[in-house]
Amino acid sequence: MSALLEVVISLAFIYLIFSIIVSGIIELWQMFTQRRGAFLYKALNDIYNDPLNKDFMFLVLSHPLVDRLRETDKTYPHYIGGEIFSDALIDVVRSHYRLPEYTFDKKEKKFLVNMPSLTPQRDGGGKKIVDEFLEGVDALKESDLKQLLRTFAFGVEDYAGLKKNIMSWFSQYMNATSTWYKKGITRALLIVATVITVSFNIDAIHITKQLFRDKRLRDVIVQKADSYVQNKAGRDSVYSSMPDSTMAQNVKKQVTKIRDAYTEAGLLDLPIGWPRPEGQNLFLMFFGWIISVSALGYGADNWFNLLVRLINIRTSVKPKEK
Amino acid sequence: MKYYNAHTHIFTAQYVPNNVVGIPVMNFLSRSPFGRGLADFAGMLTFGKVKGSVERVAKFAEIGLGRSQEVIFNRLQDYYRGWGDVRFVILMMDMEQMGAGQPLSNYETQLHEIIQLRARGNYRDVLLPFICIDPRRKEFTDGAALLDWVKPFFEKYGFVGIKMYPALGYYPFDEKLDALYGWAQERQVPILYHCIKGVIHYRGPLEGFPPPRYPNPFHDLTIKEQEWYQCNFTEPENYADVLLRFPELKICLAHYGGEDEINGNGRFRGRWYEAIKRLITTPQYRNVYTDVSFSLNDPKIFPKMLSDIQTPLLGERILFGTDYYVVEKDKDEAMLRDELRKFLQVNVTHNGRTMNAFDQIASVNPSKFLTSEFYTA
Repeated sequence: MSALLEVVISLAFIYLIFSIIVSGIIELWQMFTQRRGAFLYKALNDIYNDPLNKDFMFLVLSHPLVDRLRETDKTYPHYIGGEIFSDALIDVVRSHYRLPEYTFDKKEKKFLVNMPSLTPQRDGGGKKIVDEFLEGVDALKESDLKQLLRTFAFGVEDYAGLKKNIMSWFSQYMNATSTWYKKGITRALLIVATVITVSFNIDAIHITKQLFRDKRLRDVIVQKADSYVQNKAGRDSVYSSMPDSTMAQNVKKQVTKIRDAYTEAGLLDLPIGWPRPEGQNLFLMFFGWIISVSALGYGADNWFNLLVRLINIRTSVKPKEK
Repeated sequence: MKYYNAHTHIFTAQYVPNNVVGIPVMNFLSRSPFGRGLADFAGMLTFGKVKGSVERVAKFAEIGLGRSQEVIFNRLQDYYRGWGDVRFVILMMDMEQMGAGQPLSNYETQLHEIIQLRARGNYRDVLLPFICIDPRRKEFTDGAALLDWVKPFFEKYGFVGIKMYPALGYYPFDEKLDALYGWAQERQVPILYHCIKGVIHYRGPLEGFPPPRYPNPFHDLTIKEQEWYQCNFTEPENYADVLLRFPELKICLAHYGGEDEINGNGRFRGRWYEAIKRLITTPQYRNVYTDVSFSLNDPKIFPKMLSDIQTPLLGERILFGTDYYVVEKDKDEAMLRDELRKFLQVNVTHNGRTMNAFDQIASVNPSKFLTSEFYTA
């Protein structure tokens, strides 16, 4: 029982380490291709770019609240908070149909601009803003977006209520988006997992056999896994970590993470790599690779959670065995 | 002295259907390090000859992918910082009916953006927008509906003129435009037509169009290649038809027929250039203009242009324009501007007034062209 559990813990730890390398590479790829920002943009654009009316996604993105979240002129914001999105959306909808008007002063040869008053009144709960928002919705041609915007104002008395409804919808939509995004990067994950598996010759069958045979190797890995879990170091996600600093800092963070995981893997003295380790069966090697690719595709988060559970089981089983 | 660049664009790529310019290609060329690498690589292979072209296309793409029309306009203004008071005719583009799919953002958003933009900063008097009209928009059920849609842009939103781009798939003599022509003629609102064979043209099926009215001995009117079919729409003689009914209409047949036509080595052997000159100099048409935009990227046309500017009547109807930023893929705006200005430092006399040829086309002529019931230059 103990040997079997130790082998499973060792495998979970090995795949956790390599999953961190895989997820780090994926993270770098996402940073360089601006994939996350583009995906966030597309998800919101599908709803707010209304060809029957106007591209409200563009108008929201151009709003100073959101526009300033861009890292550079040429990128979309990586992350838009629900609060900021709600404020910008309300402001855009309440003002889109009240455009500045121009008259030409022929004497002075100059255009004069008559700006609509859009500064909120001090009416306590911001009821006027809600009224203006609804007028903005009414000014739209009937469309899916108009219907959505209308529902945000259901049962709403004041600005706080309107904002709360939009934030609540935004939060649910972002959760759904996150799931779609994870599904969307599965293919990339499998490609990177395959490259890592073949490059390091991570043959699951051979590793398992070696772990059963070599108690010393098992002990070393289990001990490492134990201290790793205790330190809770290296916890990672392929999506949940929103960039909180500049691209250069994020790249550095990911490179450090990959390097640390690589060093960790090196210290384990694993039966992997090229030339082929002694005793590795060439025929079974391909099946071992397929298992490893699938295992790496499982994700660093999942391996970490599994490892924590296994270590807990081991801790609870160990005293009884003694 | 006030100068006018009478032909510029600042619409971003989001208003262009994806399969016209290939936004992914634009992205690749202008934003990825591989795009810049490609320019260097092309330069290595061709001893530097192609490098400049790739770099210019990358620059064009980079401008087009700007995050707003304001960003592109600021770049344009920067080119003219040393010139004093310079104003820019900004030609909007409605590319939704050209059979190339829908752009990312619709035309209404483009108009909204411009109207909002002019209210900020010091743009309102230097950014002179021309509204783009395509009679095929489905809300234009007839000429009256089209006119009702257009009017507020002049009466409320400070537009200065009208832009039409027949190459996108309609004839300038489309009867839905008659009410607009009558209204524009009465108020002397300028209309600028695209009048050159270009890369932006109708991309849809060619069946169902009315036959062209004017034959062109150098052009097969039944041709089924979209690239050449556009010439049926743009043919300068089509405007003779419009002028016959609206002789006082103030129009500009932009691009002067194109540099190849001016040089006489185009497919139509200079026929378009001559046709435009003939319309301008027809005594009963007092308001027909042309501009030198885009064509001015070829300095070989300068002597002919100067000679035309010196010619009575003709010289009063030629406008300076560059076709920014479309022309950036062929030549840098600063180079265009300086080469032409330098060449045209020759005095010309029109109506007893002598000034250098450049000032004539960049200041005097555009002032007349742009002045209407809604705007005084």
